[in-house]
Amino acid sequence: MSDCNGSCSSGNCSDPNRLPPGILSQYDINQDTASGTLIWAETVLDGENLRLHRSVPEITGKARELDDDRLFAVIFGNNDVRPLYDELFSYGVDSLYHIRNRDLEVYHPEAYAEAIADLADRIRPATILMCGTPKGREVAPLTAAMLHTGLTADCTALESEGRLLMMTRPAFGGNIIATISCNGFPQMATVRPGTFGTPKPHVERKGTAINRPFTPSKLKHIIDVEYENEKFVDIGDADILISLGNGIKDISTIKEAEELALHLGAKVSCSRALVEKGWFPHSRQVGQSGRNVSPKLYLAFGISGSVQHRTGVHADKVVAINNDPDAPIHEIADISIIGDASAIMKKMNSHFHD
Amino acid sequence: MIQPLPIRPDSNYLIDESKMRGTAEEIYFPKNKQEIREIVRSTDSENSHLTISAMRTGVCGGAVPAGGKILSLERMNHIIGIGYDDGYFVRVEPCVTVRQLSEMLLSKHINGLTDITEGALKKFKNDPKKYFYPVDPTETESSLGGNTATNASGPRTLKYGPTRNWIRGLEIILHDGTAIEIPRGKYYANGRHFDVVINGIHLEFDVPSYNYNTSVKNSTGLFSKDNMDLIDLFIGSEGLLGIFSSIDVRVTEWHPLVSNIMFFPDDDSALRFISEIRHREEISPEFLEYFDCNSIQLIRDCFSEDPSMLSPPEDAGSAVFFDLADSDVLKDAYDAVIHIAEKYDGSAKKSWCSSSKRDRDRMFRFRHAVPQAIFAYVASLKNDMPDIHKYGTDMSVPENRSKEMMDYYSQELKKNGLEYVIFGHMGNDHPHVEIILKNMDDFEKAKSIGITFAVKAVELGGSPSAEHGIGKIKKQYLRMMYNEKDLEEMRALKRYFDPDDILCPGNMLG
Amino acid sequence: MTSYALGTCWGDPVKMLVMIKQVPDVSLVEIDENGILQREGVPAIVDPSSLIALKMAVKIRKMIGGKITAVTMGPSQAREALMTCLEHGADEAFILNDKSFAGSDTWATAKVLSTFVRNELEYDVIFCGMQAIDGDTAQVPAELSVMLGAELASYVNDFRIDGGRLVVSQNYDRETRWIDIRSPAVISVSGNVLLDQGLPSIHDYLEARKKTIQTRNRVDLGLGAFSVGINGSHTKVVKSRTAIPNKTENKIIDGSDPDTAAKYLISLAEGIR
Repeated sequence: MSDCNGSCSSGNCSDPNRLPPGILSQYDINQDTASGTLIWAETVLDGENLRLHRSVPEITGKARELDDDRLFAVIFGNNDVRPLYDELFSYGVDSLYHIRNRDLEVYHPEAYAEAIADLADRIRPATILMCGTPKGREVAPLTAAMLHTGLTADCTALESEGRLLMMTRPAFGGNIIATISCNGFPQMATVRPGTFGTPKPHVERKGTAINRPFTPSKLKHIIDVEYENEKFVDIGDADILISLGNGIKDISTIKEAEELALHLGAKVSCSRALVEKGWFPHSRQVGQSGRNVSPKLYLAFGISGSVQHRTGVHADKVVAINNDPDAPIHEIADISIIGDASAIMKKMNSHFHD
Repeated sequence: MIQPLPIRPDSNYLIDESKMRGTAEEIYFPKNKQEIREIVRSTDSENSHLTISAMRTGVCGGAVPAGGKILSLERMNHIIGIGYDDGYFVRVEPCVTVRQLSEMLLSKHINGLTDITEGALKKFKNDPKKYFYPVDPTETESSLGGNTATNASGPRTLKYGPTRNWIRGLEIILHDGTAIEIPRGKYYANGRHFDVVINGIHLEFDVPSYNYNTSVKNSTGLFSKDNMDLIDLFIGSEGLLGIFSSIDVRVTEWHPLVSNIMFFPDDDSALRFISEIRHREEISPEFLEYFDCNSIQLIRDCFSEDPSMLSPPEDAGSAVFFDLADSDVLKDAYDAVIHIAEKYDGSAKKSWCSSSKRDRDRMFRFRHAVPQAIFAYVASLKNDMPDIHKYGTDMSVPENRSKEMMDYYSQELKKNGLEYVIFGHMGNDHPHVEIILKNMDDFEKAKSIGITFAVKAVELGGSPSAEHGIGKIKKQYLRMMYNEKDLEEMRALKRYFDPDDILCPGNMLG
Repeated sequence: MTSYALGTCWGDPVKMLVMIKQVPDVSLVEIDENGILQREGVPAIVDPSSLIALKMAVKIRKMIGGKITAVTMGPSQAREALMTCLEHGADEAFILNDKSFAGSDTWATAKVLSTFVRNELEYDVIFCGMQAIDGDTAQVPAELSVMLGAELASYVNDFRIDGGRLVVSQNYDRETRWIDIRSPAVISVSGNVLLDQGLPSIHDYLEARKKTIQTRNRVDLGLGAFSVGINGSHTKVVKSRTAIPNKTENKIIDGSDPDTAAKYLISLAEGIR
């Protein structure tokens, strides 16, 4: 090449659009074989029952909506998992790969990622989607690194242009909404639970289940696993959320909120400030580093409404109860009640006593 | 014509930080100078009263109405613009808070501001140096209007002086709606006599003939001195003479600072440490804040449930909080500080130190925790004891009488069986003594012991109200420092500027 | 590097690295009336989650000794962040700084960090903060672990030293796991920023200024221009806009009477059910 006057790695190539040799094949661009979507069907142990994580149908439905092509799923476990096949097919999965290995009945992040990467190499999907659960957000980057590809986590929107996926997520503390693309296949994304709605299942849909044995190269040394199903409250699964913020000065107000939640059939969530004060576990936090929630009604009691918090609220109706009329929460509140949040909550409870 | 709004008896507009509750019929929320003038004129013609209210962070009841109407300036909270006149100054509406001003200066977000002098905004924005407002009262939610009306001080008064030193100009609305602009350096008295024409208005009057004590931190009484600048009459006038519709505050160059809190085993060692480092040029602390052992214990007791509050080390007795300028000679400053601290059983390891904003904010929050705990505590007592309010002192004495005063405080308090904390601007010989009231008995004792302290402070050549002003609850201090003739001279001045006693009835003289 | 339980090698002090991120203080970012983000003048701070990671390393050092090295990839302002880390207990610090690093996604960032570590440092454990306040995606620790061939432990919120081994607790919302982690390892530390407090002392502040902060650029690391920055990233931002809220209505109600407000809210909620 006569116009080549520098080394590729020094960055002073005269043609800014030229790629160094060998790049094309590494990125598999223009490879016709990359097609379809692969999702990881994450499972949850609920007491004695094994079930799909509730956001698996959400991402499956979205995948189906984005692309007519083959929809693959991968699931780990033993025979306990077979009852879940039909559910997955009903949401649109065409081929379900069941990774069989005694050791992998328990979650091992690196081993799971290895298995998924190995499968992806075999079936060559254009896209891999995972739930933005704690496990999904661990396995996804491991898988992406193993596949030498890009991952966009916590997407709030996904759109497709043919095989190309446009992934949207908040950035810069939630002040900016960015749309991101990946420069090769597979494109990877995680989506926080509750971001997309649950699709309607079609029980008559059929699919193929394929057993796939896999031996991981190494496993973790797990000493103990504790399941805390009673304590764990899934705020992503509520029609009404009573959400408390730093304007709530008295810790006893939490009891008021829980009582009110019983009366209204609601759940209690909070802003980051109260997690930092140790009043709530992180699983109750709404916001960019917590959960995205999309209840029908979001009652923000004493929440000032930082950008990071607002980014997590996707409710049909937002009501802010705050005695500061200038608090930023009002920017997203459909209804703003300027008053004493704790006092109003107390009154609501006393209303149910008579 | 702007209309007032009705006011409920349990409204927050009827109290300030002293928790004293007043009464009022209606409240106005003017948005600009024009509306203030309308309100003043209509109040004047009705012969009613107007109490000026801004952020209500005062502790003397200055903003607490004694009947009549309230003029709340809370809608006038815009920073108007920036000017340059041998240094930058900022023009603000009266209800701009200290925090608001600081944030604007730090971030240089000048959208929507105007040039007060030509090109000032651009000059400020492009200036690589940073600027800050050095009075820096601890209560950052206080308004600059309120600060000017009380000549507020802060911990940095040690190095930079009080609000008075930083006011470049005022726009004032008088009792009849007239507006006058007073820049510093333009209108002077001849001896104690003023005869000036401002904006077409002729003003002629005498200022009091007494010696206003400027050798210590003092906010008692109206400022007066020979050949004084007219602007100084209004600074610290507690709303008696007029309403500020705009204020020009000077700012100064900011340099990075390192905040430090050093712990000592007992009160005496901390006090000796302070008295030694305050004059050392190589150290030159920005401020010196003292926490006695009782106040450190108070923080432990009140904030044990709050994980965001720094917790004092278990073996810490008293503490000293000071900032040092992060300059090339910082190492020398620290060498001196550590050497002196070790003389009094302190050490470089028994301390907190940081130059990061986040950590420094936490240390400032720690400092504010003491008065905050007391305010919250008194507020909780008010349900059972509605007449109770916070009882703290605000007395300053000359440096050479400081130890005497400190000994006198603890001696009298112990004698009366009262629980107390002592903390604050020891660098100005102006610590706050706050009495932890348990019941109305304690309250009565506190009130009488307060008088004893005030008498002693005056006797030692100091001031009984160094920083907070007089307002409605410290009037007896005024009588301690001034005799009947002095008071009559102040009243005469008040009558000149407000013949029908419309403005802030009950403040200071009433 | 052979895998062995942490700290059981006699004569070896435990070598710990902490990956530090410097972020703009996003709580101070404003959007002006033209919808443009005001990024200028927003001070940069050490991300609180990086400090938590550092504090875990400091705690371990208190128990079994060791050396702590802080590393950051960032612009030259990152020096201040590293100074804070030295004050909080790191023994030495490195800043990986080069114009070409700008625009790196998590893959490219992990690439730079892992190359540096492989070239120059020996380590037993690498600590990272779990999620930065500017809303990053918590991917770097996992990618770093794959590139280095190290074991990954995410969501670590507690630990104990058990007969020379490091055992960590991981919080997966519904599940808490205790695992015995082997070196080389990457630990992503979660935890309550405020519960773990305490400030460095004057002694720490002065000592920090005696410690070294070294810099490395792209050429020092032996990385090609296409391995770093925008060119080395797999993902890129195609478009962005400032976040605008979408409300259906804009009602403001006076809630000064708690009773009326309470009744209103209850009827609203019951309408939903």
